[in-house]
Amino acid sequence: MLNRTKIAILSAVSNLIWFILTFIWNRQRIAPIGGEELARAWGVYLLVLVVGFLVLDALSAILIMTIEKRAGGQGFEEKTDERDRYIEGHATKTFRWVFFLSFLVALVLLVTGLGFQTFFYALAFTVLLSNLGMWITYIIGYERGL
Amino acid sequence: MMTKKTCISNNIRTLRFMANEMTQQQLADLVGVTRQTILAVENGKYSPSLELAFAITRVFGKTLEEVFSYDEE
Repeated sequence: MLNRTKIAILSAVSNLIWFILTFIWNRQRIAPIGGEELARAWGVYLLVLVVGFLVLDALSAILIMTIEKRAGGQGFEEKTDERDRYIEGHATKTFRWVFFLSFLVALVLLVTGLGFQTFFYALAFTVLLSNLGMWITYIIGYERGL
Repeated sequence: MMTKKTCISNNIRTLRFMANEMTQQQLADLVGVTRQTILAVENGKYSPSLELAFAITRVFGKTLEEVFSYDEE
């Protein structure tokens, strides 16, 4: 299995675990809150979620590359080429489309009067799904070909 | 995971063998890509750019048609 596939798998799994943990934490946190404070609490949650994803993605890459370096590989000096850029292009496209469609669903939920809590829940899933979509595209790209 | 084959087939493996059993890494270094990309091209998992295709043919001293072929199906 390629290092880039390992990074993608580790990032996807850690992102999913982070989402579940923060989701449970947020549900307990927002239960007694109402009004304007609730919107702010959701804002904090989404910020924690996104920053957590970014940190976990970086840590996944550092971990895999460090292990690879210790096993005698090139580690961070591993170069990228046209195939990496090709797969990255597809992954970015997947991210963009999933984010766009999920955000659209979130907006539809908001305008149909389901409440802004539902909108924020949908927004949280938008962040998760677009990120997972991107990592899955990386895995498919490197293991199966696009 | 099942491999998605491209329409481009090639005989790079045979040509490497005939060129003093050149390794994938050696070919990758000569054309400026990673070994994984050469592996993917050989296995039909990735269609190389024209630049890379020409670079590969130049290493073996062949024409594009002698190395790559397009399978219409």
